[in-house]
Formats: sequence, C-alpha cells, structure tokens
Amino acid sequence: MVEVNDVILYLLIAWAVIVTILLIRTRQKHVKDIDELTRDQKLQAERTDTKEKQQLERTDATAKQQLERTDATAKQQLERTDAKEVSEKLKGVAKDEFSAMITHELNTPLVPIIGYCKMFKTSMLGKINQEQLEAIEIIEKNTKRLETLITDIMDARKLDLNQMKFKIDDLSLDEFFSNLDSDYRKVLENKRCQFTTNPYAKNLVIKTDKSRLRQVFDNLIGNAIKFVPENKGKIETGCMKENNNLVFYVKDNGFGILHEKQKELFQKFYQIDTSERRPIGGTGLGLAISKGLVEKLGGTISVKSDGKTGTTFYMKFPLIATSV
Amino acid sequence: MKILIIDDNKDITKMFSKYMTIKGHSCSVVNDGRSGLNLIDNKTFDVVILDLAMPEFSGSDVIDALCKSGKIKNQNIVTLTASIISDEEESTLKSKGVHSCLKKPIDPDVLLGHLQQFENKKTI
Repeated sequence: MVEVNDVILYLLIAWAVIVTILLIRTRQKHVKDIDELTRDQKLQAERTDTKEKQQLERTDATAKQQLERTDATAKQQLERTDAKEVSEKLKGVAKDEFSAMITHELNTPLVPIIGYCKMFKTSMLGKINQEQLEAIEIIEKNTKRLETLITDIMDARKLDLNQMKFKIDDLSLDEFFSNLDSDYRKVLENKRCQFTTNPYAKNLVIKTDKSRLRQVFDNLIGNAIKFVPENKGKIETGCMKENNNLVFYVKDNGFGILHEKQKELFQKFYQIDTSERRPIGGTGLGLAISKGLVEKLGGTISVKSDGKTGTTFYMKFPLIATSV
Repeated sequence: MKILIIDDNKDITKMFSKYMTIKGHSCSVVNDGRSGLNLIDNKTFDVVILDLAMPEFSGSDVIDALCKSGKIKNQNIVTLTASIISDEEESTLKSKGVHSCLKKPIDPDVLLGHLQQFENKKTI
C-alpha cells in the first residue's frame, strides 16, 4: 500500500513540478511578450519621436528661413528708407508737412492785421483820436505777441525734430556785446532800467551761430526785463573765461526764482506763477528754446538764484577759440 | 512806381493796394497765378510782388513760365510767402531771376521800403 501511495505521491509531485515549470514558462513568455511589446512601443515611440523631431526641425528651419527672409526684407526696407531719407534730404524736400502748413496758415492772417493797424495808426484811413490810438496799439502789441508765439512754436518743434539749421561762423565777442549794448542800453534807460555789458573775455573770436546765440540772449534779456523792479531794474550781461570754458551770463535784480522751481524752468510752456505778482506775458517757450539752442551749439545752460534777489543765467561753452 | 501784386488772399491784396495807392504808387492786383502771368506778358511793372503758395497755378509756376518765355529778365520780382522756404529753395528762386524773397507777415512800410530800390530803375 505504501508503494501505491508513494507512486501517487511521486506522480503528484511530478505533476506539480510540470505544472510549475509550465507556469514559469508561460510567465516567462508573458514577460517576454510584454517586453517585446514594450520594445515595439518604444521603437514606435522612437520612430514617432524621430518623425516629430524631423518635423520640428523642418518647421524650425522653415521658421528660421522665414525669419531670415523677414529680417532681410526689413533690412532692405530700412536701407531703402534710409536711402530715401538721404535722397530727400539731399533734395532739400525732407520737410515737416505739419509745421509747413501751420506756419503758412498762422502767418497769413497776420498780414492784413498788421497792415491795417499801421494804416490806422498813421492816420492813413482818417484821423484817429487818442482812445482809438490806444486801442490800435493794444491790437499791435498782441499781434506782435502772436507772431512771436508762432516763431517760438516752430523753433521748439524744429529743435524737437532735430531740424534746426545752424550757420557756424566766426564771432567776435567785442562785436557781439557792442551790438547788445547799442540795441538794449538806450531803450532800457528810457524805462529807467540799467543795462551793462561786461565782456571780460575781450578780443576773443569764437565759432558759433551768432544769430542763434543772439536769440538766446534776447530771450534771457527779454525775461529779465519782465522781472526787474520798475524804475530801478538792473540787467548785466557778459562773458568770462573759466578754465577751458567760456561762460556767458545774463544777470538781473528781479524777484528771483525759488530753488524748487528752477528745475522746471526749462520745460516747455512753464510759467513762473504770477498770481501775486504783476501780470507777465510770454509764450512759456523762451527758456526751453534757449536750452535747446545752447545745447545744440555745444554748451550747457544753468540758473542761479536765491529766490529773493535776482537771477543769473549761465551758458557754458567749451573754449575752442582763437585770439584775434 | 507801377506795382503788381499777385496773391490769392483778397484781404492781403486789398490792404497792400490801399497802402501803396495812398503812398502814391499805381497798384494792380490779381488773385491767381495765371492772371498774373497774363498781365506780366502784356506789360512790364517796376516790381511784381508774388505770393508763392497759391492753388492751381502757384507763384513758382509763374516764375517757371516767365523763365520759359525769357520775360523774367525784364521783370523785377519779389516773392512774398508765409511758408518756410529753405536757403536752397531761396537760392534756386534767385538763380531763376527772382530779385529777393520776403516773408509774411511783413509791415507794409518795411515792404515799401524794400521796393523803393526799383523806383525809376529799369532792369538792364
């Protein structure tokens, strides 16, 4: 019996072993299958990847080409614009259309106004009385103000657009200041305002645009006239050497400019608050233009005032001068 | 002095002609370039005050036509414009035969002072 049982046991063990082996094999195959599948997927994925990569590369190349093409076109366009600008400048037609139109439209109506004022004032259209004369003079004064405003606006715009033209020439400082003296001293003395010129740097000839430099002086002196006390005003102009610089100045004994207002002073349309003071007209562009002109002429402009007694404007230019 | 004013702005021509007439000059007025050219074709003035910016037939067109016909040599011309003209444009006009280029606005007295040089002085 034991033998029969043993045989059955052996058979059972053998079956178990076979089943186990079979099971292991199946599993191995399954694993292999899975492995193969993964490999396939991987391969596919790799293939897709390559494809995508290629596509991407292709897209990249196209984009690059496109970019290069756009770049080249832009470059060509820029070059063309540059060339056009240059040729226009050469022809002298590079004009600011807006300024041209505004100048024409604003200046034209002033012609008959100025003309008829002149005719009324000189009694060409019949004798006028004192009251009428005063009225005409007020119209004239305000027309003059409009005229200045138009010129100032155009100058400011030209400076902004870098279209201001300068004529650099020799300028004798002696001559410059003697002209200032003859143009201002007597006129101001009649208004009981003392005007002096002190060209300490005499016998100097500098290279500058004399009419633009004079424009700056006219602006600064014009301002000073507005701010000096009535009947006891003092305005002094001059120049001096300071190291390698030539410093021009315009000094007045007006009521000064407070420190906090000095920075804003050179901004366009800035006006000193006149609420507590006598009404002072002006375009509010004079100092902005002066600053622009001085800088274009290679210098710097600054202001000094204690805010109570007088103001001095300085214009500093590097000295590249020759003695006479 | 025989003066011709060519300007499309009637207020301006009326004022100038009134002013010049009171000051003892004979003043003709036209308000377009073509009529101005016709007048100059038929007679010579001591001086022509020519506006540059006019519609249709501008002052520059008048000058070009006078250059073409050669009449510019016998006619004193002073241009008067409210537009900005560059130094280059001014020298071009002068090279064509324009005597001087003046700017608007201008005091009529200053303009007349400038025109005095043409009195009793015929062009050669």
